[in-house]
Amino acid sequence: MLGYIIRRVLGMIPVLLIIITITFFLMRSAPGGPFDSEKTIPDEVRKNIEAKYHLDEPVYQQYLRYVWSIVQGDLGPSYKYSDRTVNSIIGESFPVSFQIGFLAMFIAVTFGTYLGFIAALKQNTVIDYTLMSFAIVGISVPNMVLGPILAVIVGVYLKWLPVAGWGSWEHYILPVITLSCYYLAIVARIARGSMLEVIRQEYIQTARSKGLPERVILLRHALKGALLPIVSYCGPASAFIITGSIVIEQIFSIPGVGRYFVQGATDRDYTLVMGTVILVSILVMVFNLLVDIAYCFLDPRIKLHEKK
Amino acid sequence: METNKKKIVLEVEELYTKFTTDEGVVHAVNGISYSIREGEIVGIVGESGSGKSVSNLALLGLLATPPAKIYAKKLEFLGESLLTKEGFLDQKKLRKLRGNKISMIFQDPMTSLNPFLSIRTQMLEAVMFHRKISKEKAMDLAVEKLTLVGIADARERINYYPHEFSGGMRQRVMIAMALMCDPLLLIADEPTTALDVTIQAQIIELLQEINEKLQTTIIFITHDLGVIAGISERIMVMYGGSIVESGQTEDIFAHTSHPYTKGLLASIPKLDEDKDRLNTIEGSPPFLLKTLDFCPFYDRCEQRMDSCLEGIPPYIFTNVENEHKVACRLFDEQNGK
Repeated sequence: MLGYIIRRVLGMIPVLLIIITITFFLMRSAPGGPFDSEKTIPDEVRKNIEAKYHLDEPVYQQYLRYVWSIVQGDLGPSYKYSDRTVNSIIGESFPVSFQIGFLAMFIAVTFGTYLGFIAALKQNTVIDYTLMSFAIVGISVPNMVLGPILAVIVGVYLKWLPVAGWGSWEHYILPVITLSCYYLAIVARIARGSMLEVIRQEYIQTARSKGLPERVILLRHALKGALLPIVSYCGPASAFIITGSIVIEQIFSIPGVGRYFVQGATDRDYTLVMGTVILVSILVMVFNLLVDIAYCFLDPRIKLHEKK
Repeated sequence: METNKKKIVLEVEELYTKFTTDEGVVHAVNGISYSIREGEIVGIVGESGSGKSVSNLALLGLLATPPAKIYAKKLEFLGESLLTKEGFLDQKKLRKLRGNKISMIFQDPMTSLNPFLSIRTQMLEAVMFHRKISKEKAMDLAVEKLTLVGIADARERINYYPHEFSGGMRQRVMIAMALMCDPLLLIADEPTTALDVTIQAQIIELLQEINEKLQTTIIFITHDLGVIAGISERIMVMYGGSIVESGQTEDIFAHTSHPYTKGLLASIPKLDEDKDRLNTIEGSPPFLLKTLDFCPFYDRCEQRMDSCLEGIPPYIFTNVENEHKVACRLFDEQNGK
């Protein structure tokens, strides 16, 4: 098991290198640069800046210099935020996005699974139809609609919670609800489908033929199998949800990492874009590994084999 | 008669099972009646859709209601009624019996064991639940049963998961699991159909052994007359949701009465015959979307008569002494006059 994990982590390095390479050259091939603006800068000044950031060197040399600094754990200086490094930008904003994303995912998984299972066990009843209608609404309403509606009702009219901002625990509630809604709906639908499939399996009939109470049949015989599709959805989804949502962060003015994805790209802030791309890549790979490990614990037929 | 002295384990009278579907009501089991005595092996034969499996799942309360609707005039296990006053199943009583006094073995051991749980978990749960015994005691019992069905190193292999066993071994595990609470009645629903021929023979032999050693009553459901000929004392032939013929195995083979049973017997391949094609019964089983008011086999019967259309043929004795019964107008006339 440990050997498998170490090998998988080592396997991430070449993948990451490929991602870095592709992103690096794609960014450079986009027209414009970090210091282009409407105001023309004197050639002298531009030359000085470019020299400072090594932008006057040939591209391959810049690439090697960048890869070397990555190896040392340095994501480089931001071109746009001149006195800050990419490490410090991500270091400050990622924990904020992580907290919101983690809470949202936690709510989505627990409630989504629970409601989905209920719908499955009450299939084709009013309960099932009601839950699934809400799920459709949850999937269809975009969070840029849901967010402002919640902010207006709960924040402006009822004055129960702050409309926006960051600082106290109250600031978490609206963004977390807004963000989790969509995922909760998806998880509920997956959970319903997988539970329906599992309870039709013959081994559930076998369990019933043993005269076991329904609660034991569900918790012991059906649960593990029904969780598998949820786990495989939630892994990659978690990676994206915890790296922040630009929409949520804009609506509730949260200092998360999400906004840097778009801003970095439009600003041609090469290092910041690279930093966010590396962050997401690592998270996606780590969560996929976690999914595989979870599978191994849920399903005894899956063994994380040592390569011979 | 000697067999009559034995206790009746299961008595079924006019059991009906209906399913409400989008296309209409499917009449899967239409008022079957039979009784099973202690220690016997009874075969239920019929083709797919004849109601042989469904009737057994129904009387154990293993069908979801709705869509199923199950009722009977009488359903008794060891003299105790398993019905509510209205004639429906008493789920509470059934749950206590299932996996305890009545066990079931299913067709495909690949899918009827839970792949997520170890054999140990699956074997111990029923006995610990029904008898409230300790884990250690249940474990000893499980090892004993596994050894009984021919699994060596049972104490070690009980920790395996189903996928670590071969098909035949899994069916042995299923049987051992069904025996955990020393059931009086074992319902085997096509227990050999998913297995290859040599394993089939082993499993049949094992069931026979269990019947002899433990005096377990067995209902053996199959579509293969050849399979149960050697094992069962009595055979019931089902067609279109009804029992069309029943009797002792020798009588079914030697004095075959119902044209459908004759057709089934004729379609068993014989080694001494050199034929290119096997015999078949022309046509297909009846749609059960409506209640039939005439013989369900009429459309396919080679001996059909006008009187066959006059209501469902009564289920009557052709040989009272041997308890050979048949539901066919051919015998109606012989007996009636």
